Amino acid sequence: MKLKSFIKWQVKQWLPLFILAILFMGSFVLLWTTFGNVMNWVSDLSRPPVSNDNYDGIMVFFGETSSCLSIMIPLLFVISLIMPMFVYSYRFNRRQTDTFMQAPFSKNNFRITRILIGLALILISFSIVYFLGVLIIGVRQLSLPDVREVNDGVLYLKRFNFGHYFTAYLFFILIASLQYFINCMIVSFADSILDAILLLFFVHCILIFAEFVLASTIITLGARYYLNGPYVDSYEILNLILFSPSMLYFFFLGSNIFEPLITGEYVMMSIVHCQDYIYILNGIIFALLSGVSIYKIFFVRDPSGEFAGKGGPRKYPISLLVHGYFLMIGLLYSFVGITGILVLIILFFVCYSISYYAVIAIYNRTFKINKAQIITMSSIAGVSLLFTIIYSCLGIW
Amino acid sequence: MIEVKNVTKNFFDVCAIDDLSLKISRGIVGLVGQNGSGKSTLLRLIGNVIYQDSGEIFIDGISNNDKESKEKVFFLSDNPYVPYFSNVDDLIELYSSLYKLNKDKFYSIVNSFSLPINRRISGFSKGMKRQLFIALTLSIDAKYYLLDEVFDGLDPLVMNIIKNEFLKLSEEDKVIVISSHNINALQRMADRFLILYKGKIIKDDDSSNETKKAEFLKYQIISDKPLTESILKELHFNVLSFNKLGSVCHAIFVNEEKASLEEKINKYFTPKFVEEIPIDMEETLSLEMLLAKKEEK
Repeated sequence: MKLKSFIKWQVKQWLPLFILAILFMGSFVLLWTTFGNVMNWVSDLSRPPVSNDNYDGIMVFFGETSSCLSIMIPLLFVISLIMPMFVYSYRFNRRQTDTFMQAPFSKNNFRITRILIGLALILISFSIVYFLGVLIIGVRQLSLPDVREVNDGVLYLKRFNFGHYFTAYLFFILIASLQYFINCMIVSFADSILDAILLLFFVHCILIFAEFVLASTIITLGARYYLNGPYVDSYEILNLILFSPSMLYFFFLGSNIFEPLITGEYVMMSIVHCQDYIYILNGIIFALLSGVSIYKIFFVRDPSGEFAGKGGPRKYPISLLVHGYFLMIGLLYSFVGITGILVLIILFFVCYSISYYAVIAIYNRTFKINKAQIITMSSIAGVSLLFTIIYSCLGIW
Repeated sequence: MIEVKNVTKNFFDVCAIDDLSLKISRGIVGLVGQNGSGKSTLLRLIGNVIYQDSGEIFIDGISNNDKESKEKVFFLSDNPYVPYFSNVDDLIELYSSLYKLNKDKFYSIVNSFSLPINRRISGFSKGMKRQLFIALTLSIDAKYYLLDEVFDGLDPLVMNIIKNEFLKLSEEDKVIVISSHNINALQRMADRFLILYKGKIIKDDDSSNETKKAEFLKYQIISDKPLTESILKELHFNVLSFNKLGSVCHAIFVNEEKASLEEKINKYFTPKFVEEIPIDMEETLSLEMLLAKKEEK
């Protein structure tokens, strides 16, 4: 294989994708940085600014002063979620599998090359859009005077600390790279585009909700009613959704760190409610996932290509993801749902059962579900119902 | 040499390749069989597109998974990959990045096929795409070529050009394995035939192999006495196939010694006319598959 020639060919193939990524991210970023409130007018430079929503000549859509990180970061998250499906597209199409799996080079090298080109595409497109956004903010601020007279006094412009845009950039591209590798690992288990989407969906949902569900069901019950332990604040538990080891966690964390560093404002969303163990736990989970992902995608051989495009036999651990997801949904309802009203409980469980069956059918590619699956589904639905009854009877809400 | 040793491959409940062993060291080998007999699977296994469940495959003594082996093999599937919105030059750019490719030879063959170089490949007909990929195959420098159903949709003029090119490759000590249902086309170029049936080789006309060889004899018989397939079977004839058109019966016998067969026919049916009819390769291969099917029952 002539690596340079192949890279050149692959980059040329993905050029439309690159342009699309820039247009997609750019449209949001341009809108936000052009019309967002990036001005800090304060009455006293020594104190943190209060929010303001006025500015001469330009209509401000968004009231709070913002560094605009909050729009750029979700876009990066979306791109790092979608790109792995293109990277592994050669396994979703039999013709591509026939061509690339038998070509005279190491399958590992081929896969790694595509992964790294995909990463470069994400980082370059994000960098272009990010610094363009920063440039627009900079130009808007530079064009303003330091002082402005108003009816009841004078306002001073507290300019952004632009240096921190660069440190934020380094932080986010590191997180995005690691999360991209995690998503690549998840997609590497798929043989078809549908499988890839399902796997990404289940894994991300579990990461988002698992911590919250475990805390709300086990810890709450245990602490309050059986161990006579300390009172567990429901607000703290709800916060766990935001601080679970999901793909968004570190993006959110970074946004909370760098936003005040750039704007000089107070942290918009308090993170002090979160216990220290959450940071440690999430950090460990993320590090483990990243490590396993890097190992898997760089060192583990591609599976055999016979199921390319069709989806292979359903592996048991993947099935557990599906059942685990519905267990979580059921437990989530029991904790946050309107559990005291019988009609609503029945309605929820009817919809829950139908969707559970539909997902299992789609996953197994048949409407004839075997006994083992039926028993598992019934057990999980039963556990969810049990917790719902417990919470209703105990009157937690 | 391509060496396949006791290879088995299953897809869910179906055994696609069943403990298959073979060696291919020279010439043009025709791989034939019914649909679903395992031809494409075998080629994909040798080409390392898919992995066997058990057994080993070697290319010149090295595992087919090794890069050194893969450099010697080129596999062309029945429906090759064409990048989106690409023309011939774009396709060459891809394959020249993957293989050692002689571009001058490629364009010379493409010109001899009169293929439009500047048009998008998506606008090519099925036959034109086949011609394009055959031109590509002939331009790639490999030692072993595995071609899956390459003759579909090709006109006789193009077939002639291809036959000559493959024979030239064969003379350069390259090995070509072609799977096809177009036995007439294969017959004109193959030195050896492998017939697959349900993942097993039922006929290999390479004399170094010990696969069972069935002998078929086809006769045309006209007789006043009743003559049907069931009667023949009752009289212990090994009849494989029988049909009657008017008063003329055509019967194909298997594993019968010629002299004793003719004696039996004369004895039981006192025919007005009996004549042995030669069987061509296509019919032989069809009969092998039919025999395998009957033996399975």
